[in-house]
Amino acid sequence: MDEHEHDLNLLAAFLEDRLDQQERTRLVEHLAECAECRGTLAVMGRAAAAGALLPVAPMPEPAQEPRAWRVPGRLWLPLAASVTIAAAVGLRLLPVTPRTEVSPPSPSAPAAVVDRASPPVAEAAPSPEPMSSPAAGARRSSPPSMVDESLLVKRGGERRVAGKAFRLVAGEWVDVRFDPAAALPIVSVAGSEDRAALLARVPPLAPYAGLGERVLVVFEGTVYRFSP
Amino acid sequence: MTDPAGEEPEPGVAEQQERHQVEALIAEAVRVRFALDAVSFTDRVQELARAACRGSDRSLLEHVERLSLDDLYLATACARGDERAWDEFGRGYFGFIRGFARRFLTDQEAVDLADQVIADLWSRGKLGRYEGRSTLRTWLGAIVAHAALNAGNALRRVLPSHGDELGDRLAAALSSAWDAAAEEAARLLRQIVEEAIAALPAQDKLSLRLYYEQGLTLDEMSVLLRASKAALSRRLKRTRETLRDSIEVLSQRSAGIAADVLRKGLNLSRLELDLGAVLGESPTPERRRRGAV
Repeated sequence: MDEHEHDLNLLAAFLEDRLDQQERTRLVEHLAECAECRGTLAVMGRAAAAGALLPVAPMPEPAQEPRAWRVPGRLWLPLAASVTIAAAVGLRLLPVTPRTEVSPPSPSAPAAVVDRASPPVAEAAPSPEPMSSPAAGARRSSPPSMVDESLLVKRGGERRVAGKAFRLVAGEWVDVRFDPAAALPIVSVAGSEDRAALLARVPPLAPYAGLGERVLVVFEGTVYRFSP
Repeated sequence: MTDPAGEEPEPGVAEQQERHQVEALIAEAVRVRFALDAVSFTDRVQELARAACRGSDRSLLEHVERLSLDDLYLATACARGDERAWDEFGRGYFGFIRGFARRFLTDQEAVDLADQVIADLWSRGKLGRYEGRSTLRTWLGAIVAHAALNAGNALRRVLPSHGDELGDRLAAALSSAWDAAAEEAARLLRQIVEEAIAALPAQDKLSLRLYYEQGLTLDEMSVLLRASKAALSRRLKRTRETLRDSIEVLSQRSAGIAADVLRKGLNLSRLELDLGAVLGESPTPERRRRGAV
């Protein structure tokens, strides 16, 4: 594997603050010497600061029968050729089967399992609904008392605070229920004075604001975005 | 399960326990919705975790807990040729890839680049290189950024140079500032400056390069480096002063070639070392506001 390809996994993890101290130190040492990785990091940093790495709602599934995945027209022939060659050397393409699985959650879907202890909310739940394999039938779940909060805190870069789950995206804790397509009103809160003033007016936001300097939380139909 | 005497479990038992725990984490986080079954995916996760934990203090389970498992499941299924997985990937990420490329390329260049990235992800199995250490979105952003930088030509019109020429350009500017005639003096200066930069601690070196070479603002750096703007500003100021002092010491040590400079009584500390101007960047509004740190 190309060394820089490997670094992209670490770079992305670095952006999301998911490296341990040892890895972070090694990566900083590498970045100090490697112009190529530094350039990539700089581009990502600009994008992250501008909010370009926040999740967006996926395109809806087509209503009609499944069709072949779209490939940019100009690339169809060379791509088809490479796929044909791959098939000839033993790559087995799976047949398209009718969609019987649960589709990605709609905005009105119930909350994901990490939040099942909380009351249902109206905001979108972009997290996938975890369940057992289809062959096992009914979805497996454990009662809230058996959920290991410490695991939830560490798992996949998520943190749970006061009934809400947040994911660290490029330095910002983002409410997993944030859906840009929902077009909720956004309140931007920059600086400590504004932050204190808002929290005095809306005390329930305090636990979420305490996550860090940059937090995006959906609360009572409004998106609050805290920054330094 | 330990034996009643409280001794360590046999290796086979410990591995089984570890696997059960990984399976439990996967069952919590992943919806098995493609042909890639839970057993095969668990194998993949353990393989990645073992490689990542080699030479690290972190346990395999600690590593797996931090992974974006559902994203990794999707990417792995795509890499194994699952068309339904590719459909889901397309719906979720094609738009992001194209939009992200448009952030720093012209429209047509962005379309071309995005198409190439998408084609590589599928036909060259590049999605299989995703290791789940971040969200798939951030990793894809890094892929697009890396591809765009390698493409090079369009970015040079849009972004500051990311070449590793900080030392050369700084030395060249110092030379011209002194009206130094000797080519040998210029060469020595370059050497001195490179030596001074090389001696910086990695964190300071990185901050310096991100700010002056890559042209990031303090806001952008604070997101990347998890530090406040005030702390970053202080660090950059300190680093610049350290660099200036090192250059002065190193140049004093090099007799002969630098002697004409020294004879002229030049005092490095009096030079207005605005590194932004030294690097000859275009005067963007950010740069004008930034001035000397």
